[in-house]
Amino acid sequence: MTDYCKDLEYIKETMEKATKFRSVNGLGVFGAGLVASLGSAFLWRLMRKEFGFAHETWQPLVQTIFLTLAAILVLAVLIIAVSSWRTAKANGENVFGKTAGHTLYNFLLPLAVGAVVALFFLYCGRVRFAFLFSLIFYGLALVNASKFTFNELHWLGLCEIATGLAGMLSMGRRIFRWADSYVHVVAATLDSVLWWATGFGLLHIVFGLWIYFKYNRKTAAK
Amino acid sequence: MSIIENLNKIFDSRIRLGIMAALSVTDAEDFNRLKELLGLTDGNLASHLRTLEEAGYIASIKKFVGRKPNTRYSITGIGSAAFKEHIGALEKLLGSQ
Repeated sequence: MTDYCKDLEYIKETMEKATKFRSVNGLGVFGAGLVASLGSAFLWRLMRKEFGFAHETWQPLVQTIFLTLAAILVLAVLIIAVSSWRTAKANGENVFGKTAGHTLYNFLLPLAVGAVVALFFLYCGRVRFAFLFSLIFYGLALVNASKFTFNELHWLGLCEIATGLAGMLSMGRRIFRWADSYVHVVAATLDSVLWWATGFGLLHIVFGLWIYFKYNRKTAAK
Repeated sequence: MSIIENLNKIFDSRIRLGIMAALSVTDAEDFNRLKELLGLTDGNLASHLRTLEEAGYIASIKKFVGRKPNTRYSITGIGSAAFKEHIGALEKLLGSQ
């Protein structure tokens, strides 16, 4: 009788394995990380230059920051989408299939919520919160979607969340030491750009290469 | 013992259960993907696929990707119903314990 139990278990396991979306392209993730690194380097330099003049709410810079972030996002999403679409084609996986749909839904839902939260803070001129919250929500989105795809994305998500929280902690430490003064806000905002660069730039570069060497290189060689 | 009669003979093999499980949650899978997913050899998988196809539980479409032949398998309506019934019978059997 335990055989029947094992049968059911096996069916469940196989279904879970079969529904994983396998066509995430490591090089695409790497490329997105590169774009994010360059973009945040640009932002950091721009914001540091304005250090002395910046209003507490960074209102004069908000538009440029928003446009730069939007450009990074569009480019990164395009790189990942096109490269994954090509990998899916090579794997014979349907990009518009159930699996890809499930993955996208589970990924986009937390991300959309995070985008609204980040935009709200950006609109209020609290740029540092926009940077840190976008990291945390992006991490949650990855963890949520990772059930349907590579396990590495689960780890990447956890790392993104950790980076965002570490940024918050470091900001909290500043508040503790210097109170919420103008200098603190400027320094914390510059710090948040660095945390953002770590999360969206460095982590994507590292995980992108990892995924590429683990999964994609084999397929590419075939 | 009417419950046991609902258990499908074709699904006696765990490999065939695996194939049906994989195909029931995806639109279609090709031969190599099934092989990799279930950890089987070419011959082993081919013979089980043939049994399922002869029973009308799965359908195959042969296509060419470039110059390589590529066979994709998908579950049929009959196959899906039979598989569901089999799972139901298994669950009932375990529930009656």
